[in-house]
Amino acid sequence: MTSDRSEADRIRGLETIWAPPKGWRALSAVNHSIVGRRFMVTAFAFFLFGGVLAMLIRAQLALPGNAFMGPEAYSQVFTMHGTVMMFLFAIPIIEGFAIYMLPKMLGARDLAFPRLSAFAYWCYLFGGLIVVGSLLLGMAPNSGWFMYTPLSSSTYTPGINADVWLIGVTFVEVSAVAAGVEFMATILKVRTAGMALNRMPLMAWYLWVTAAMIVFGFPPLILGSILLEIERAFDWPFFDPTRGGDPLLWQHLFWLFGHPEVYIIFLPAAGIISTVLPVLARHPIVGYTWIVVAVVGLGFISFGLWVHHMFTTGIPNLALSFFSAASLLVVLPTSVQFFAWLATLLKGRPEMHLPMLFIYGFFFTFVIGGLTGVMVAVVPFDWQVHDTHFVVAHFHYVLIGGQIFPALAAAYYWLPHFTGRRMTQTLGKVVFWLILIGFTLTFLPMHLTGLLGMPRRIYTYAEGAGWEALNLTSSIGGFILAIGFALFVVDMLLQLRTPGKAVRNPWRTGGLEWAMDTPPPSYNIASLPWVRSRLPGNDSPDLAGELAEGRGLLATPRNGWRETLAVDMIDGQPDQIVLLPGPTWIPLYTALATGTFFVGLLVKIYVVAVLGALAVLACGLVWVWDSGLKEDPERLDIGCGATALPHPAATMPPSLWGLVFLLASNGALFASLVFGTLFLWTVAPNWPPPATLPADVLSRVVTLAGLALALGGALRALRVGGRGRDGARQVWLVVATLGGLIAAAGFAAVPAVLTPPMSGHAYAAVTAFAGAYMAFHAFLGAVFTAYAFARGRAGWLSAVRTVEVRAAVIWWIYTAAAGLVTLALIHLMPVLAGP
Amino acid sequence: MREAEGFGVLVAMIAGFLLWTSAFVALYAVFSLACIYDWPAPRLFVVGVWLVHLIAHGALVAWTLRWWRARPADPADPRPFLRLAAVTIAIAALGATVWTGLPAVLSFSCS
Repeated sequence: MTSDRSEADRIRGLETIWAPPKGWRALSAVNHSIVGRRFMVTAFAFFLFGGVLAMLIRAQLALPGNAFMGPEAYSQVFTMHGTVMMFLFAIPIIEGFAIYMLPKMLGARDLAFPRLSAFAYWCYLFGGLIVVGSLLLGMAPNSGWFMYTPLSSSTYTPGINADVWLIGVTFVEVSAVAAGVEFMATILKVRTAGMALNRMPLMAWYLWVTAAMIVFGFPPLILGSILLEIERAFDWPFFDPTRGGDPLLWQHLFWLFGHPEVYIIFLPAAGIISTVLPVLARHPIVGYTWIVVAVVGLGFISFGLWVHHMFTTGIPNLALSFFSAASLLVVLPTSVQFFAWLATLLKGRPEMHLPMLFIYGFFFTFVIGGLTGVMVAVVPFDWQVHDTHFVVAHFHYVLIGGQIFPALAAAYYWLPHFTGRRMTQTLGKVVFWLILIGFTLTFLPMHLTGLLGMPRRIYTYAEGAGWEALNLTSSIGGFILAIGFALFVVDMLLQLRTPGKAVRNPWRTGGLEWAMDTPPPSYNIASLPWVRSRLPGNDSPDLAGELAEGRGLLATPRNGWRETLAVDMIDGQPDQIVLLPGPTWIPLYTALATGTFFVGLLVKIYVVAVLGALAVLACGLVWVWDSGLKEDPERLDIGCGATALPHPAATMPPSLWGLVFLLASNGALFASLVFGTLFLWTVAPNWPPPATLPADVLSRVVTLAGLALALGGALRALRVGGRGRDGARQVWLVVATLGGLIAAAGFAAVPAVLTPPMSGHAYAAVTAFAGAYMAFHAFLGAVFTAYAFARGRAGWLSAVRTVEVRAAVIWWIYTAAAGLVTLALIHLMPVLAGP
Repeated sequence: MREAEGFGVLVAMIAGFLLWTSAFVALYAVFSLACIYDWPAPRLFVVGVWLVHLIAHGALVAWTLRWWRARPADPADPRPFLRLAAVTIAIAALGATVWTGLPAVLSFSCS
C-alpha cells in the first residue's frame, strides 16, 4: 500500500514537473513531443499547399496552348511549388519527426536543448508564412527554386519577389541549422545509460549524419543568399560579371547546399526503412556495421556531387569527370543499404502489414529514380536531357520515392504511438494504391516527355510537338495522386477517432520508443533504462512495466528539476545529469525578434532590422542567464547504485558541444566565403580589380593585437578560474573583452575606411564583407566575455562551474583562427594574384 | 572515457572519408589553378596530388588495420565495432580516391 502510494507520488511529481502549460500558455511549452508534433503538422500543411500548386502546374500543362495561367503566374507557381516542397516540407518534416522520436529512441526524456527546438519551430513557421504569404499578395518568388543569377538580380527581377525567397528561406534555414546542432549534440551525449555507439538504434546514426550534413551543407546557401540580398539591396556586385562578379559563384554556392540536400532528405527516410523493415520482416537488421559505414560514406560523398547540376556551364571536362566519378560512386553506399534490407527480408518472415506496402512502394520507385540518377551522372547523357522534363521525372522519383513512401510507412507504423488508439489498415491500402498508380502515371511518362525535348519551366507548348498525350497522362496521374493524398488526410482524421486503445507495443519490437505508454506522457518514461543491447525490449519482455514502476534511472523527481542523462559518447556510461528548462516564452520572443530583423531587411527599413538584431542579442542573453547553479553541486544518486554530476559542473556539458557544432556550421559558411573569394580572384572575368586595400600596417597590427588579447585573456581566465582565483579570472575576462573590442574595431575598419567603393568591383564587395564578418564575430566574442564577467560577479561561476568561460574560449579559438585566415586572404591575395 | 579522447575515436572512425574530402578538394583546386595560371606540366601536379593522397590513404588503412587487430575481445565493448567501421571506411575511402582521380591519369586536358 505504501509502495503504491509512493509510486503514485513519484508519477505525480514527474507529471507536475514536465506538464506543459494549458490554454494559450501552451505556446510557451518546450517539450519535445509537443514541438515535434507542431513541426510535423505545420510541414504537412505546407505539403498540402505545395500539392495544390502542383495541381495548378498539371492543370496548366494538361493541354497545349492552355490559357489557364499566364507566364508570370506560372513562374510564381512552379517556383513556389519547389520552394515549399524542399524548404517548408521535406526538411522540416524530418526535423519534426526527429524532435518527436529521437529522445524516445535514445531512452531520454527530452532533447539536449528544448528551447532551441522551440525557437527552431517558430523561425520555421514565421519564415514559411513570409514565403507563402507572398503568393497570396502576388509578390511570390518567380525565378525558379534555385534562384539563378542574373535572372534573380535586381536588373531582371525588380520588386521584392526574389527578396522574399532570399530572406524567407534564410529564416527557415536558421531553423534547420538550429535543429541540426540540437540533433548532433543530443545523439552524441543525451542517451540512456549503457547505450554505447554500437548499441544505438540505426535511426540515430542516420539522423546524426543527416544533422551533420545540415550543419555543413546549409551554410553555403545561407552565405549565397546573404550575398545576393546585399547585391540586390546595396549594389555590391558579387554576381555581376561586368564588375568582377560571377553568376557561376551563385550556382556553386547553391549546389554545394543543393545536392547534399537530396541526401539530407533521403537518409532519414532510409533510416525509417532500416527501423521498420526488420520489425515487419521479423528479423534483426542484417549488416548493422555495414549500414553505418554506408551512411557515413554517403554523407561525405554527397558533398562531392554538386557540379553535376552544372555540367552544361562550360566547366572544363576533366573537372566534370571528377564530379561525374563521384556521382557514380554514390551508388555504392546506397546499394549497400538496399542489399542489407533485401537480406533482412530474405532471412526473416515478412508480414504484409500496411507500412510494409509503402516500403515495397519505396523499393519500386526509388530504384527507378536511382537508375535515372546514374544516367544523368554521365556527362554526355546529362548534356542531352539537362533542363528537360526527364530531369523533373528523375528527381520526383528520387524525392517522392525516397522520402514520401517511407514517410507514409512511418506515419502508419508509428500512428498508434501518436494516437494511443488501435489502427485500422483498410483505407490505408486504398491510399497506397492510389498514390502508387497516380505517381507512376504522372512521372513515368515524363521521362519520355523529356527525351522528346520538352524543357522544364515552360508555361505552355504548341500543338504537334508530340508531347500532348504524355502531358495529359501526367496530369490525369497527378490528380489521382492528389486524390490519394486527400484520402490519406481523411484516413488520419478517422484514425484519431478509432475506438479502442492501442495495445502497448503493437508491432512487438524491442525499440525503446515502444517501452512507454502511448500516447507518451510529458516525461516520456518514468525511469530511464540501463540498456545492454540494440533492442532492449527483447531482453526484458516487460521493460515498459519495469520502467513505469521506477526500476530504472532518475526515477525519483528532485528539486523540481527536469532531469535526463548525458553519457560518455563512446561507451554510454552515465556521465552527467542534464537539467533541462521548463516552459518559457523566450524562444517565441527570440524568433519574433529574428523575424523583425528579417522583415526589416525585406521592406528595406534598416532601422527596424537593426532594432531586431539588438532584440535578438538581448533575448539571447536573457535566454542563458538563469541556466546553471549558484552553488557547487556534489555527485547525485541516479539509481542502480550509480552517481553523476549535474551538468553545470561538468567540463564538457551538451551545451558546449552545441557551441562546437554551431561554430562548425559557422566555419562552413566562412569556408564558403573563402572559396567564393578565391573563385572570384581566379575564375571571374574583369580581374584583377582596379584598386585594392592600401598597405596599412597599423590596422593589421591593432587587429592582431586585439585577437591575441582576447584569446589569451579568455584562456588565462579559464586557467586561473579553475584554480579558484575568482578575482584574477574577472580581470582576465575584462582583458579579453577589451581585446575583442579592439579586434572588432580593426576588422570594422576594412569595410568602413579601407576598402574602395563596394559597388565598384566584386573585390571591394567581398573584402568588405569578409571584414564585416570578422568584426561581427569579434564584437560577439567581446559580448560573450563581458557576459561571463557578469555571471562571475553574480556568483554563477566557480572553480568547477566554468561553462561560460569555456564557451568564451571556444568562441575565441574559432574567431582568432578565422581572423588570421581573413587577414591573410584580404592582404595576401592582391600580392599573390594581383596584376 | 574523456570527452576529447571519445571525439578523437569518432574522428579516427571517419578519417578515411576526411582524407577523401581532402583529395577531392585538392584535385579540383590544383587542376583549376594549374590550368588557369598555365603552370608547366599541369598533369604532373594533379596526378602528384592524387598520388600523395593515395599514399596517405595506404598509411591510414595500415594503421586502422593494426588498430582493429588490437581490439578488445569483450563483445559488449564498443571498440571492436568502431575499429571495424574505421577499417572499412578507410578501405572504402581509398577506393573512392582511386576512382575519383582516375580520369586525371587516363585523359588530361585543360579544355
